[in-house]
Amino acid sequence: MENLTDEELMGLIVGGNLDMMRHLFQRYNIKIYNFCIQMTKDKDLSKDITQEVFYKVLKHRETYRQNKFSSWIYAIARNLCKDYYKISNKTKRLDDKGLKYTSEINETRSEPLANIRQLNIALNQLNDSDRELIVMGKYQGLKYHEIAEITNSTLGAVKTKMHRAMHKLKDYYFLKTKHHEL
Amino acid sequence: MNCKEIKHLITDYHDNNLDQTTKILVEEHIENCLTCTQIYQEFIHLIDIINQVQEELPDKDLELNFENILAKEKLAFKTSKSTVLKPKSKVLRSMLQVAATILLMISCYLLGNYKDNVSKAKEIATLKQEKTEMQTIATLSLMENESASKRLQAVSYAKAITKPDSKILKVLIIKMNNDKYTNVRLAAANALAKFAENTKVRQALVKALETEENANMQIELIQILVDIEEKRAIPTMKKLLQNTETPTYVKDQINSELKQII
Ligand SMILES: [Zn+2]
Repeated sequence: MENLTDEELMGLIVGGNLDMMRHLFQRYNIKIYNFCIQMTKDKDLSKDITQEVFYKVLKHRETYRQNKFSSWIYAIARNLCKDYYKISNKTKRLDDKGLKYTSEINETRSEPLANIRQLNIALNQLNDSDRELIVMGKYQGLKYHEIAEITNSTLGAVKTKMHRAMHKLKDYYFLKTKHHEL
Repeated sequence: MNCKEIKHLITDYHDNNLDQTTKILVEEHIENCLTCTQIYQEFIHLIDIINQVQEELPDKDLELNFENILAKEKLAFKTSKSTVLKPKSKVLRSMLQVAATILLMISCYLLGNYKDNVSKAKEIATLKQEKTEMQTIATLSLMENESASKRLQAVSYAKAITKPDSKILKVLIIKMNNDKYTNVRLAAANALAKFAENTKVRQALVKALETEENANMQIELIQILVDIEEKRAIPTMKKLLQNTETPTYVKDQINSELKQII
């Protein structure tokens, strides 16, 4: 089973072999969990969302079409994180909870990671759509065309936005308040 | 190349995403320009830090919960498979109905009230009609249920009605266009496909594709419209092909299906 592609596994699952879902869970649960952490800055919530993602994949397996499985599962995760944002934006935005969670996450790590803390602060200064692009492209290592599929965008648009987002992130990171026009 | 152009290319240069000629041009510029060298070095540092971010590992109970979900889903799947065997019980039910009718006839005969064949046929027709009406009422009320799975069930009931009335068709069209859940919308579209000989249904399907934004729905609708050979959908499909917002896989689907109806 290890040799089967995600799409082949999904084909078997749609055909009724639900146990194959275990392989997809093994391949994706850590990735999706980390994606959610970067998006929501909340570990508990990310665990819930990850669980919900796999529930949805199972439940809605019949609606899976032949496109890439990774794009599909990330799109599901992204939508759930967005739903969370819609709710949290109304209540949490003002108290800057995001940043608190970020440092909390770092402090549980062993190495002294001042750089990473600074990176997280810079990342948090980006707007949601820039941050999500960087998380997908640079943290999760997704290809431009995959990101285009997940965000329902075009390859060209993703490329351009990614460049801008990376320059912004760099300028925030190096504490350059004014960034040059791109 | 000037610094502004380099700025556009510098992340792709770092990711080795440039063709050979552009790559050399960028390289040459960076070597000879202090500002761009600094920017480039900042990028190297930034990406190095990003790569140092370690993956968080979820607690073990994420997997346990997943196993739980999987077990439940497998159970639900088994039960749904056994409902596929329902025709058996349907046959049984109609046999019982026939038996009941015979019993009724015999008792009527015994009572000296035996009606002629014509009126008997009428009676059966009325019974059948009553059954459809009952089905219709039940389906319509279930269609408004808050639970999406109940609404899905209602859609499948509607699909099973041989000759649905206009009320059923109308509510199916509404569900196809507006239900909160894509699954219900997909199911409604598929149910409507079965009644495509109805002109209103055809129109609704054509119109749905014109306004649809969800890619899954678009794919389903394209499939249906091609299956029912609805030529009025061709302009919409062509428009989708030209729209830059349309996902590639939807375009691929259109390209492969369009040949079949043109
Ligand atoms: Zn320069």
